[in-house]
Amino acid sequence: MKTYLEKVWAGVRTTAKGMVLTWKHFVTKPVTVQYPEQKTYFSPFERGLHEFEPDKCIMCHLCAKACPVDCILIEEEGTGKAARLTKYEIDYSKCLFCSLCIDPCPVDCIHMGQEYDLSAFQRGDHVKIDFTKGDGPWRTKRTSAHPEAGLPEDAGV
Amino acid sequence: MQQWLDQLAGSGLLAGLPRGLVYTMGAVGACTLVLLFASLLAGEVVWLERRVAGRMQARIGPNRVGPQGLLQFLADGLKLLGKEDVIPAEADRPTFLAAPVIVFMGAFAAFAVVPFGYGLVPADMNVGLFLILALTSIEVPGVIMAGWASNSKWAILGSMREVAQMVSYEMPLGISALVVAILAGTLNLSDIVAQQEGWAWNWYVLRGPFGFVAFFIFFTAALASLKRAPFDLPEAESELVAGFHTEYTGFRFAVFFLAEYSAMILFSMVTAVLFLGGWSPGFPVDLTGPAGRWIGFAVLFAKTAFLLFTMIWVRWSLPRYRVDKVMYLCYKVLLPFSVACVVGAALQVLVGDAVGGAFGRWLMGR
Repeated sequence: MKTYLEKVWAGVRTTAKGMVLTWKHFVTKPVTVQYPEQKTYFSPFERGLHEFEPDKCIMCHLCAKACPVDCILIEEEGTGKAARLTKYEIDYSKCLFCSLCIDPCPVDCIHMGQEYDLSAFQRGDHVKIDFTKGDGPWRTKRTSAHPEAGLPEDAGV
Repeated sequence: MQQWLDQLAGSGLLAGLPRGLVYTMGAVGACTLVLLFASLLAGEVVWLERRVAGRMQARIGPNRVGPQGLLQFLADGLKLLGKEDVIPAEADRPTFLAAPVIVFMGAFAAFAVVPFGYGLVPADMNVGLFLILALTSIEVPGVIMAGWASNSKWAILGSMREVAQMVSYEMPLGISALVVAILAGTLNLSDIVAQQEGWAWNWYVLRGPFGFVAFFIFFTAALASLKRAPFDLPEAESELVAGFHTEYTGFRFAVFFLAEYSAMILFSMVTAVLFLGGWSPGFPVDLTGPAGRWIGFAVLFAKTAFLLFTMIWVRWSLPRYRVDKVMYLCYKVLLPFSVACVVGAALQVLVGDAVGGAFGRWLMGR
């Protein structure tokens, strides 16, 4: 009889204990980040979408040669000092964000940037990006206007 | 309801119509209102369940469809309606098709006697409490039919567990409701609420220790007959796929879901009516007027919402019982305690009668 009542009391007590525990979780703030509206911290040392400065590029093709998956396509017009860049395209269906294209560049015209979401409504929309055209997401703080800008101000490092 | 219809039939546009037609129209109208109330609220309870579950796991839960995700159940329902309606080749067709209807009918028909507020009772019956216990048991044959007709081992195992569990837990459920019946001296739910009006200590949960214990027994047994966690063995996802509704798809599955959640609402309302004072807000106030009865409805709704929240809270706190432990809890814990409560409540009424005065009336419960 005594052990029976002890068992019943233990059942009631542990149930109450468990309920209190879940209540504590209920009143805490959810950890979810509502992605498209809110974004998590992106470290400046992480490798996002490339940033490219077309006016600094000397068309040496070193980045394309360094690329292990051959995803960089460079086209130019003219020769010697008259040469002009017409196309600098990175195929993001191949790119593996290894940053090997960054190191060989003699003029530091390509960097790994802070953008990482290549979301689009159609598959073809963002697979290949031509960095000489348009005003896409790769144009962030470190592109041609401030080549030496370094880390973003809010990087928090 | 009938007086109200008689009044309506004697005046205005309906004066020329035969009385029987007015009654039929009234019945159909009341049915539609209650059906709308039950199914819309059931949808919102699904939403509430998912939001609360999310918060208890430090997530947010569905918040995209409509304001704060309130219309999520419409999206879910539309998705289910768009699914293919599969009936297994070896299934027993007529039984398979009838089962969800019977399960839903049992949960829905019992709303007929629930007093939503003073005078807001679809059918004010002297045997209301008994009728609720009887009608909610209709679910059992429906579940057996679903499990048997599906011709699937998961379904039959689930429905066997369900039947064992529901039939067993009817006993503590009915006996702990008997505590209130003894204290109130009536089975009419409106009268039971009328006797709990006044201050909050008139609620049967606070009238002595027996009502208090009976409240918890009733709530636990209600959880078990609703197949809610921690008693969700009949549909234990990790063991039986989905239990007795494994083979159901599309709209039929939605009907099972709706029946489950409207039974949840029903049992929360009945618990609020029996033990938590129904539409009485816990202090003396007259809620019998034409506007007051709707305030009473809001009060009852708030209590129902609290109990629904507690059911969800329990579900996301406690792990599932083992089959034999469920039976142990029913026959060796809840049943003896509820019988003890009935004996104690009967003694309480006798003592109250002997003592007399205001305290005696409080003890007697009426």
